[in-house]
Amino acid sequence: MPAKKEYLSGPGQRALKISAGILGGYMLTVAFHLSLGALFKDKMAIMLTASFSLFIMWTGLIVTAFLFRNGWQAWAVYVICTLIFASIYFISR
Amino acid sequence: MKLKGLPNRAYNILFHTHTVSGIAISFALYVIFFAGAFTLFRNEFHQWENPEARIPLVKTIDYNAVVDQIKAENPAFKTENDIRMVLPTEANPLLLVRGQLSKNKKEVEYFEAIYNPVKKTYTLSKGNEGAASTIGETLFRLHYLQQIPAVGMYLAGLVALFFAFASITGLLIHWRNIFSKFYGFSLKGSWKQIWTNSHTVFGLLGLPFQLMYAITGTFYIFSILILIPGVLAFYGGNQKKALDILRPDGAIVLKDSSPQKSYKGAVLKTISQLEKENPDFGISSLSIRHYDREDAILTARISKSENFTGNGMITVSLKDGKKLINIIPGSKTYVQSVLEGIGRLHFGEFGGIFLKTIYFILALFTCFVILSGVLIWKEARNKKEYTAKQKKFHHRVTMWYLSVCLMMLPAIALLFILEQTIALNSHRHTFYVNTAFFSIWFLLTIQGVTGLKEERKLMKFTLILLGIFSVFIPLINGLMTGDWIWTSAVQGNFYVMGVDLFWLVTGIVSFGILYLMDRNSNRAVPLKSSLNNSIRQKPANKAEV
Repeated sequence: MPAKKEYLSGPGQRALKISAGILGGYMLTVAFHLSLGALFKDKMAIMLTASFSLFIMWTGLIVTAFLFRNGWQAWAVYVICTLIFASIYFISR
Repeated sequence: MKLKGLPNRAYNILFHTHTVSGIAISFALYVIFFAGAFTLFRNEFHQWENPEARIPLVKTIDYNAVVDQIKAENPAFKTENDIRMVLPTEANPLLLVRGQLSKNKKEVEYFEAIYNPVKKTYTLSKGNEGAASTIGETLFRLHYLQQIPAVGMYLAGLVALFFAFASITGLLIHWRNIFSKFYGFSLKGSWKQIWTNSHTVFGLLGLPFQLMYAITGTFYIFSILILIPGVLAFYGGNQKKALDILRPDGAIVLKDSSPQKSYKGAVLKTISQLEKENPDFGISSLSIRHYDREDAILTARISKSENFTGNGMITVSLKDGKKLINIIPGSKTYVQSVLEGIGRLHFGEFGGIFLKTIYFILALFTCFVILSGVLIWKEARNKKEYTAKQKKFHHRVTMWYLSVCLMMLPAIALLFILEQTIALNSHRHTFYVNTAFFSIWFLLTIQGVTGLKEERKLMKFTLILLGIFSVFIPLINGLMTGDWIWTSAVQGNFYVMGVDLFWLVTGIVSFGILYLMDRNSNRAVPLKSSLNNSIRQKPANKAEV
């Protein structure tokens, strides 16, 4: 019943995916929430919503990081999305 | 009805991450849930753990007189700084006062005084000195692994985050069978099937509860991960600006130059007035700033325990009785409600003791899901592809995990006994009780792994210990305090009686299970051997043949 090995990735790829999920996922989540905060007037409401939405989104991104075929790809997608949300924050601040 | 499952690749990948994250956090998560389940009732069992609290509820206390009494005997008490009070309740009729003592010119030291409104005496403990009783505190701290120096709390936070991960991956891999699992509990088939079945069924039934705890638990430890970017981005790095919105009473500016003035009896008078104005709500706690200055302010937290958004806050200036802040349940904004809501969800405080009981049962379900997960992990690897050495390793890991987890319950029962048998009234009490509790738990775990070697024997050993300790709890309480189950019943003290009865029933049930286990293994020999063969790891030499 253990998962079939042919689908699992090697140690290097695994390290990339885990780090992309935990670090990249956190960066993306924070950038997303900050961009929301920049767009809306009530900053505190966004911060308080983040008290649960941040951890839900972060967990989701850790899960999806494992589904990429290549760990570098996961990192690339997360970093690009982070930059997009960060620029929304800096433009509309 | 079957839903469309994940594609093969995704299924196998997520299955693997579910297994790895689950095994990595398993026993820590079990400890967190199990300690948390008991902590839900820490107020309800407070009278049991602290016999001094077995007094009738005093409704009117002259809070000014209490502060003055503490100040008179401890001149270092800085009464102009924050003073907080947790008011007596039916469950815990003692008044808790928290304040600051000046240590030297610059530093202050926090103290906690527990005031007995009947005797009008108090016991004061400073800094990290333990209070008179500790079961609730010990279990609460164990709940976030605080006893592990420096990193314990953060480990607990990581466990909570990975728990969220494991719940979501678990949901995804079982998505296909989500409807059939909903009512699919059965005890048929081999042990592997039973463990798998109960893991998925209870995991699914408890999923909303578990996800809620994973998210709120992670928040409590890692709220800083929101606060840092949020404060930097929106409040120019000024943390006070953000906190003032969350705690508006802290934002009221009081002048250091404000002259001395004492408002004798004013606290009680103000509270009675507030209670009259809000008859549906009770006042749960107070905080006072500039207690003996002219600009003194009093903040009362009002609450209604059967209502999800039933918390509020009123700040009154003692000088003219003017309301500076008036946040009343029913007319609160989103910002004023979120943190209260998280707290109410996490501590199960919106439906009285009935809701807490449901929480308790769901927490035990979760513990069961964790243990059955570990057993599936082992059973799924009990196959020809694995070498004898690997199987031995899987068995050893399983035994360690099971041993830590199962021994926790008898150890908690023992904690109740230790609380009342280790002499009270000394600041070392907490230290002795905790040392005994943790070392006995540790020794029992070692005994479980090295002495018993087999899951069934470990289970039996746990039940014997649990049965004996549990039955002793009401006896010890009767002997030490004179409050036997029937005396508590006559006095109408259902909190003390409830704890005694809970443990008595637990003891009887564990002896009952033991009896059934023995009877089954005596009567049905073929069944026994088949059970043992499937649950027990096959001896190494047999596998080599």
